[in-house]
Amino acid sequence: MAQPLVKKDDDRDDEADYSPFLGIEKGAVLQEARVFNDPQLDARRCSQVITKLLYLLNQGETFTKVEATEVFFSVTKLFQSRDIGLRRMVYLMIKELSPSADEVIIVTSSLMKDMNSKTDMYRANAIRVLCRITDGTLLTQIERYLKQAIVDKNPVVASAALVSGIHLLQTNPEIVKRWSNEVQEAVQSRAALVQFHALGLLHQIRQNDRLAVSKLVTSLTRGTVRSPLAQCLLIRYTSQVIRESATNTQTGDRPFYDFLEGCLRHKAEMVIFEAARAITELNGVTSRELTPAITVLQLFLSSSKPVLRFAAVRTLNKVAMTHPMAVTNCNIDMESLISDQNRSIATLAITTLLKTGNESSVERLMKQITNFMSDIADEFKIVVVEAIRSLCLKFPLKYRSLMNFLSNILREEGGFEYKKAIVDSIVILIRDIPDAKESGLLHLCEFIEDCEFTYLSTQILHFLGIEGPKTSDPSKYIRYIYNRVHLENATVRASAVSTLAKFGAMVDSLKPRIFVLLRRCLFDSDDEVRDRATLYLNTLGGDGSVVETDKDVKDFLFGSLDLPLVNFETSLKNYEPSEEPFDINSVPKEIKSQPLAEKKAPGKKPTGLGAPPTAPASTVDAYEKLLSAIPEFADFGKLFKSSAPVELTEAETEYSVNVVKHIFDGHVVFQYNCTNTIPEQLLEQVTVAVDASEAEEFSQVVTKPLRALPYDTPGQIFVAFEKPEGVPAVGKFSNMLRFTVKEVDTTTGEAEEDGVEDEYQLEDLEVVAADYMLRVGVSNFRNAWENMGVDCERVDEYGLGPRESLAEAVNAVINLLGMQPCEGTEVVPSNSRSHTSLLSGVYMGNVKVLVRIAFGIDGPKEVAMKLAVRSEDETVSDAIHEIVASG
Amino acid sequence: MTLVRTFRNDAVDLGGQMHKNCMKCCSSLLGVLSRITIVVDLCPSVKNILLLDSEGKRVAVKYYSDDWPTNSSKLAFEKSVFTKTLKSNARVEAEISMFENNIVIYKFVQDLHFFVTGGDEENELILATVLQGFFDAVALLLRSNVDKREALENLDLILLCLDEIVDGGLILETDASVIAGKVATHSMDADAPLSDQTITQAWATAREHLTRTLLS
Amino acid sequence: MGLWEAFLNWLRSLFFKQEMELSLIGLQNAGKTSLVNVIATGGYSEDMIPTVGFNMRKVTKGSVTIKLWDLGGQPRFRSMWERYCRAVSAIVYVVDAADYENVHVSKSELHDLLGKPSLYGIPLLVLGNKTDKPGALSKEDLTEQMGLKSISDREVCCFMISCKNSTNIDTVIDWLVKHSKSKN
Repeated sequence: MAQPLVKKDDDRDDEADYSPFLGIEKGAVLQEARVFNDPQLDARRCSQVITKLLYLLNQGETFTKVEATEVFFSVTKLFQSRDIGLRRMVYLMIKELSPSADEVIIVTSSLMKDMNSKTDMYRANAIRVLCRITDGTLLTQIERYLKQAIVDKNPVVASAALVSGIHLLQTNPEIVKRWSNEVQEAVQSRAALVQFHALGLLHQIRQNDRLAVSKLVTSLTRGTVRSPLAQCLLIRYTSQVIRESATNTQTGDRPFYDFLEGCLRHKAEMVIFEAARAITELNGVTSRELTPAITVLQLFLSSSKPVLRFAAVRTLNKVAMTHPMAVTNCNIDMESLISDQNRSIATLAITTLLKTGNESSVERLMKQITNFMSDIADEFKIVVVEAIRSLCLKFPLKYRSLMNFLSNILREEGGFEYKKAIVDSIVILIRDIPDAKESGLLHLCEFIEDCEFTYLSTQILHFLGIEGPKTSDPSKYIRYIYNRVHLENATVRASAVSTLAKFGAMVDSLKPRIFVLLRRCLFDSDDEVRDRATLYLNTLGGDGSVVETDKDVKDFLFGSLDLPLVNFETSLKNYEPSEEPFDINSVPKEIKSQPLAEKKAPGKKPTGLGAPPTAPASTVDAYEKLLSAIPEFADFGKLFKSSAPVELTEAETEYSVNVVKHIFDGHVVFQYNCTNTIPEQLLEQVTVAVDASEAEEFSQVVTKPLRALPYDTPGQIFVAFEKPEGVPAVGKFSNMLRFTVKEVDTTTGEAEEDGVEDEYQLEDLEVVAADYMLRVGVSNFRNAWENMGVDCERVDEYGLGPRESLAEAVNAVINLLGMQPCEGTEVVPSNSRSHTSLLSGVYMGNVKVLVRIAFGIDGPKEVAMKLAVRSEDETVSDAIHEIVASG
Repeated sequence: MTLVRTFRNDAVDLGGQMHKNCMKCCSSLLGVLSRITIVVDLCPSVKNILLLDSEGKRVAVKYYSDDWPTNSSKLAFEKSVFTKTLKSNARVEAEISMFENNIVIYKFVQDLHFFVTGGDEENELILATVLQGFFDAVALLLRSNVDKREALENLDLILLCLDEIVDGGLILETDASVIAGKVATHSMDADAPLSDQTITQAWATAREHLTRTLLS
Repeated sequence: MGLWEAFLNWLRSLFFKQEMELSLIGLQNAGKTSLVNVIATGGYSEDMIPTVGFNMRKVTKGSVTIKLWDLGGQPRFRSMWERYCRAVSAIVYVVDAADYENVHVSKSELHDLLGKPSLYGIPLLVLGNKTDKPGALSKEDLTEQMGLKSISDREVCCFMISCKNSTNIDTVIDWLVKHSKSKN
């Protein structure tokens, strides 16, 4: 029996699986390493043993401290051999073993000797090893040799010294900076790579000296740079100089643009691409500047090399986010890339097309994508789904075909993340496009009929409970929901019961049917399901008990738990079973934000294929809850708008503060979110002193200071102002953070008794007209415009003076008004001389406002516009003109 | 849950807002941004070079970045890269893909899979040049037969080759013939007698002498 | 060295070859590297840079090839001496005979080293260097202060030398050659 097996193994050893390292074992190799100590060295044998050791390290094998030390010291004895090959393996071994600093120093003298040897190979490699193991004091001893090496006529030696210099600059900048004369000389080297390495080092030496960098770039862009790599570096440095000087030269041509454009004609593809990419990333790049870059990238799209196609399509994809019109010329090439064998390229092409496509091409595009979706991985599909979602928000009229597409792919095979992306997209479309609601809900219903993900099923059921009763025919959803009670696991069943109850509460005509269904659930095998059914029957009066008031029922079913879940959980855990029932009011409502570390961590980017940021959902709910918990603000009425946080400190400062402006009808509340980033400090009695002398219409009424602000635990300070009711008052506020600071012993965490009063200047804060406007879109602007009628229309013309570009002027006006652009009209096609933007919003007092602005630009960049405002209230229409006139 | 989401959205919103407003005001903000860009190192850099066999096992790998601090994280990366590229046709032209915000460029020959990884902001064509340099240099060094067996039998050459291409993430050389030339001058002379060190040394001296004559 | 010459050397050495491996240790500035230079070339230079780590030198005296591990004497290297003394033919310990202040340090380092089991029985040659300096210790004083009499587990020898004036260098070489092992 055993024989054939053995034979088979033999065969395999002989053929496919043969490896010189077969059966290699660490212990045995360490034994073999004793040959390094032989008085008569066998260089070849030693090399072989080192290779085996390196093989083991490379496979992830680790040596104990003792083993590594032993090997290291025996390897050092090999310096006696003059065999070049062996010496190179010794260098490698020293680098790979990376022995501790106090041990590795033993080879310094030997390496210094090699560094001054006649053999160039020794010199270059010894420099690299030596610089890796050296410390500051030793570096001063060998500095002289390194400076010589930098200007050595052998390029390998010079490069070794320069590259080592770049590494050493991180640890010993003051020493390396002394080499700039030699490095400067090496920049002129005829050897291509020496120039590249010298340029890299020189720039790093001077990077904090803007003038020097600018001079370097000026001289090099005129001269000749030999290696493509060096040329790429130069392009990067040039972009940096352009970025930094852009603020100074608003007018006239961009400095160095000609150089970048010239690089588009370089013979090396890497240089062409680097230059094209640099141009597309210029701040406020104009369409004239973009054109030549787009042209070369377009050529790359049809290259036979996948890397080139990928690089080009990835860059164009990014351009499409800011300048979709500039990329439309490439659409034909892009479309052919949809069938590219490399799916990354295909995905990038599709998402680019989704960004640049116009309303009329949507249907055709969706057809192409449908074929494509079946053979790509989930991660790519998610990118496509996200792109389709934003396309749909841009062209709401096309929701039908896009929604169909989403529901089709929802039915196909896919993992959780993919399905979740689709469901999220449908939910967002339902929320933002009223017309899409009914069909979207039905798609979701169909999906939960056969959904393997409990999480998604419960989310959809919850969503159905909120949206379903508001539709024209709520009864059609009941069947889908009740089916869940039969077919799913307990978690989903419980969810379905809650959803049924919500229909019962909202739709009186359905109530009797819901009662029947809920009663059936009383016999469910799961406790939670039965409990819920009982509870809801009771609250809704289905069990014949006294019905609670309608409002209470709805509050109970729809009101969300007015407590931070984390606090609730902690309180429940701390609750010990006793006579006294758990008191929900004992749960603290104060919100502890995420710890500093988490907030600072850069958000994980979506799989890198240039997915657009997801549409921000309403944050008003959360703020409303927060504010309503503060009694002083109780009589301010309904919160109209909360702004996005505005930073009042620079990044990485001692105290980090941002502010959210909450607008009420007759009040404004500033919510200062503060974080103390110093572990050694505890701040007490923290408040913000606000000077409103430049905000005449505002008067301070309430301040809610923060009792304590410990390290890394964000807290909020509130300052409320009264303002004339219904008036869009504007003004500027200066802010000073005031507090008592106490030293904290970081080992014990205890603060000292006595504190010192201190203050910290924050940046100024402004309340602007846009703060009184909600960005609310409409799905069909033309209909909305016609329906609004001309009764309260106000039209006027304005000159905006010289502007950088039409696009910039359009953006500025949109931001000034703080309104939602509709139908993608915030994007200005390149080369346009005129443009019309359609905006919609809700003004203070819940007045709907629609705006139509026709922009025009003439020769010397003079922009003029005709502003037409329609609203439900003529005073509001006037107010909008007021904003523009004074802005 | 809601709260966490709220905060993230705030961040997104804030980013968007800043971007649009930057023309109008926020000069302090611009200051911060440019300071950040200075800190960013502009030199092209390579995060790792991998040479795997047709089952995804290591032949030789070299990591230059701290992105994968442990051996298991390295192995996980190799496995994911290997599996996801396995079916692609990277035998004529180098192919490219993205993994965890990294660009990976790869090319296969026989049962050897070559990979070069860089950050997602890196110029793809520079990384491709590094890969091509490595690929061609290995082909030159292994002459007759570029496959796993030959590569393992000359692992010392492969390792030296890696050492001559990238130093601590910085590109040292990309010209395959130069790389192979540097490695080959170090190779052991297979014909020399093995046992006696003195004659090996004599050979080495002679070779060193010859090399010097040829190079100068 | 040309190929032919190397070849001849090799042939020659096949017949007359004797080899030895030595470790040269002692506190910093005792004159170890100078001694190597004097033995190898006969030359002496006043200002030497301290040895960071070790130098490996091969010196041929007549038919004897001496492999010398010249180790740095600074404190941070002393713990590593032992690794380069294992299995050598002899340990050469150099002392600055004119630096009274540090003789006791030199003594304790030497005795610490000789206490290592791996070095048991290896012959020891102690050299009192810098006899050219006024007031340098005599051989008797040095033997006394270095506690050489107490070393009983190996052959111990002591010479007074001056690298600067090449005093007694021949005696040292003679002693070394005598202790070389004949190959084969």
